[in-house]
Amino acid sequence: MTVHSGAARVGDLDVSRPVGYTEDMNTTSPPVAPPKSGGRLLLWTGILAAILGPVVYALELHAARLTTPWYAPALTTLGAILIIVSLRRRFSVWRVAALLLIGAVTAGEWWFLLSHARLPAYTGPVAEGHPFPEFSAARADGTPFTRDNLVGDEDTVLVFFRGHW
Amino acid sequence: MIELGQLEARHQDFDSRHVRVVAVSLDGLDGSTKTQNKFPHLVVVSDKKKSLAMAAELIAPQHSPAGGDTVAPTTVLIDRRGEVRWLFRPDRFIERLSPDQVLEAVDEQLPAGG
Repeated sequence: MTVHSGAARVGDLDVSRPVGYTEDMNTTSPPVAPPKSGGRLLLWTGILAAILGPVVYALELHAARLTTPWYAPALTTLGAILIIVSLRRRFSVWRVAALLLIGAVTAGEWWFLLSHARLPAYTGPVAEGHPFPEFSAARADGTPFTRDNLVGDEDTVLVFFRGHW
Repeated sequence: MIELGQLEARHQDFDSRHVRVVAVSLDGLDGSTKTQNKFPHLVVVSDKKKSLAMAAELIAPQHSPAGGDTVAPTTVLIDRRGEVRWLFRPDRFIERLSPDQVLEAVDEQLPAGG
């Protein structure tokens, strides 16, 4: 005759535990499903940040504010960084495409402001305290406009303008 | 053109200071006439031969959107004796002085009618 210590047994059945009990139930819990977003919020925030700069600049132009929009490349750079982070969360061809596109826009914006749009410092002959150099131009009605026309009863604001701005 | 629109809108502030605004571009007479009609309180000058821009050395070669020459945006204050009192050139061609900044410079550089 076999003598059991601890739990009482009837044949091979352990009656001290409920029917259907297994050791696993006592030590583990069901696995939690991973979040499905996978950085989707980061991706869209990045895309929106990249779009926001040009949109705000267009609104500034509409409001006739002619300043340098440093916020545009800064926001696009932020957008590219957010897309890189989202890409690390989940790799997809679309995210790579978005990163390439916004990366190119970022580079273009920085190049435009730091290089293309820059004007060299003025080193010409127009100097404070000196007469304006001689020239010969025409008013819109075709009548001559020369240096002599700068002398008279009024002071002059001479504005050299170009393009849309 | 945004800049000219802003200056046109403030023409009374310039008139009250006995200051006229002369707007110069490399446009021909046709283009300048259109600009003049759009901004009747400014004096629009056609500098198609680049005489004025070259005299002041303000040509920006191959810097127009179409790749041709254009002028570097510049603002010059000239008193009624024809003497230069102030010159402003922005760091970038997309920047301009606001009318308030121009009027502030006028008040500072051309006080009480120069």
